[in-house]
Amino acid sequence: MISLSNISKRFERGAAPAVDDVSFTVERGETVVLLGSSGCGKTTTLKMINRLVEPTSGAVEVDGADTRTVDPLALRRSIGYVFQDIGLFPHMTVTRNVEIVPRLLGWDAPRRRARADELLDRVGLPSAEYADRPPAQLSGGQQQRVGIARALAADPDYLLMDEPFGALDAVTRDQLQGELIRIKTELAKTIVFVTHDLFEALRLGDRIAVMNAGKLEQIGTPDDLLAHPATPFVSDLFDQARRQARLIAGDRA
Amino acid sequence: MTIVARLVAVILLTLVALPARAQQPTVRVGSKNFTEQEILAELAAQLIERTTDLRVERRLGLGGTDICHAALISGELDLYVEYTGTALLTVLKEPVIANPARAYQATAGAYRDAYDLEWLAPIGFNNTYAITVRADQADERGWATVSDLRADAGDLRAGFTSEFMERPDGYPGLRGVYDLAFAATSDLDPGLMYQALADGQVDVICAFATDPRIDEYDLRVLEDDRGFFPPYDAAPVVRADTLAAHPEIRDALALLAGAIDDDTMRALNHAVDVQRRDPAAVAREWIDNVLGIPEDAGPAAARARTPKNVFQLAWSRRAELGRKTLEHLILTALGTSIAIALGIPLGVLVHRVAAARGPVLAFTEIVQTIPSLAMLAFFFAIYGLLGLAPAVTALVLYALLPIVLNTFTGLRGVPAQTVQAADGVGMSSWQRLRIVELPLAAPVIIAGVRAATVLTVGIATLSTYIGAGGLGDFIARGLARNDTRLTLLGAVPAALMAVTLSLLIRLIERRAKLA
Repeated sequence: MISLSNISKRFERGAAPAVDDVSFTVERGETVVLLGSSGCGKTTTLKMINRLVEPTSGAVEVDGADTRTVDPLALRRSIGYVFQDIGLFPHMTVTRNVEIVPRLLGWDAPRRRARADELLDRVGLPSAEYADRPPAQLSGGQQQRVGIARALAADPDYLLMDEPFGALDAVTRDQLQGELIRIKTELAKTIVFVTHDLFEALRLGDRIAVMNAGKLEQIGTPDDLLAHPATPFVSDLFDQARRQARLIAGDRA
Repeated sequence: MTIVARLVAVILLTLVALPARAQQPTVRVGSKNFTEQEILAELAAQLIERTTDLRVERRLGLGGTDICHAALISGELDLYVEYTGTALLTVLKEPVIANPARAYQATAGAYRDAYDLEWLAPIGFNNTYAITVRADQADERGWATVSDLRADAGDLRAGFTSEFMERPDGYPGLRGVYDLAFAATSDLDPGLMYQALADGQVDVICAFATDPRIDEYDLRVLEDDRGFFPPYDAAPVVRADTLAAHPEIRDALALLAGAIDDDTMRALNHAVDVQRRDPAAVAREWIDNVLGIPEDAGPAAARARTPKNVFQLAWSRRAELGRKTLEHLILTALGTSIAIALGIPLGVLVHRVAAARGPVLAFTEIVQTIPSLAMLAFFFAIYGLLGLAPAVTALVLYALLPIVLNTFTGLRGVPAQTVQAADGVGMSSWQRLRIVELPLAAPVIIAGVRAATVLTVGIATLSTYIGAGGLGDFIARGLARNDTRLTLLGAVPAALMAVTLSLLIRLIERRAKLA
């Protein structure tokens, strides 16, 4: 379980807070999507969970332990992280990339290799074909599959995903969203997922946390948000989406 | 890592092993970087070798009076031949004494009191400065004395050695006493100025009175009609403690007392500068004649083998060439590897600590602007040592800039998302450096190392002026004797070394790029 209590982040003294008094809890096995437009503080919120960003005030607990009492390197190694711009290490093969966290944790080479092979197969990149390639030879979608395999390598309980499919084309994005749903049910991971795409949020999220200007507007299941929007911002968000859906339907008719 | 560790071990062993060589009873004979000095040093060295049981270490071609004198005081040299005028004016900073005997006495007394150095008996010749012009121009304009130049000085170009430009008995004093104002003056290498005068590049030079090229190039010495130039009587200067420990040195060098007059000295210089003979061979022949002690290998045989072109020269001196090349390689390897060991951490520091960036980069850039010879002389003064240590220190400082700059540039070129990913997967900042940043920056860093290596090969040729050996020895001797073959003997292997090392490092660079 991940629990955020009254988290705020101010990057500069006197500036408006990037994240303003946000609290929510992610239950074991749940996927919570942080939804909002760019600059709303969702990525900063995500980074405060594994201490890539330190909160100005408030506390984060992971499995009941205040993260301030945990070594940040150990914390990050215990939580998988998937980056928006993928961030594979360009000078390492696919396997070396996937192995990186086990290597930092001191696993021996055969165990690392076996784990990397298993994960590559699981994310749809047969290890026999892809293991020794450099990332530059892979398509964007394939690279992000490697990114997901890297995040899963040390079998963490938690995954943090920062707009992982944002840079991919629609078809690839759709495929990878499907894969993620499959992986998540197979492996029972607890996931915090950041996106600005409402449809992605609706598809992947057990619950959605809508953020605007650093504040948490509302958190709830997709049905809750649709049926009972708590703020004008949330209802506008869904109204806009409905209008778009109608436009698409109208175009077809 | 293990390669670096091994390299460091080799460097340390070399540094420790080198001084150990000098522990046998050895007399160290030095010379400045011109022909006469080398001949005189050879004469002194060979007389000691042939009449005593002492071993002689030669440190010839040192870069000037200051370096020789400081080396003598610090014990890096036991003796070299100095001139009374130079000692009085340059070293003691005393006024000119026109009378030769009084000049010698004043100098010897001051050296004994101030430095514990002893002047042995004068060798016999007076190598004073001689204002020299082309003979045809002297005839045309009717110059016979230095005073005659005054009217024409406004359209004459003068070429003086850098030492003459600064000495009180050089141009500064000359200008005052004769009221001379030349249209232009340029600093010339002592080996090149005669040729420059003969070719009409300059119109006036300050020749040395014993230089054979005055006759060779049809030059004319103008009479010093105001008696400006002080006497420059040559005599061996020896450390008093060396003489006390090895009194036989005094007897050996007594054979030089009054033995060489101006004409003989000019003839000896002629044999080296014009006939292109080896100073050691010329010295050996003189000693054979004077002492009547022929050595095993007769001088006639040596003369018969006198090489004609640069290839014959290289072949006849292949052992020496090999040794100098190895010395050069060691200088380069030490300079570059220490620069790498310092430069890469400095580059990382500059990348990580913004506050360090300005000072460190400014320091390495300023170092580049310091003239190499000045830097070598400076570190010699600091260490009080000749040879490897000050030379390598100077090389390290020059090699630092390309390495620091390229390390910084390479690290800055690592994409932001890659750095972020390294943090995100839980690397410590050291792990991020080792696993991600340095490998990605490696091609740029290695390119910097390549630039530093080529630079070091070049600058290492100047280490000869503080007795660090290397291929620069040939170049400096060639320049001092105006012997192109000898210069090429040093310059060509140095150039080949630079190109070869550059290619080798380029291969490593390419592999780093592929990895």
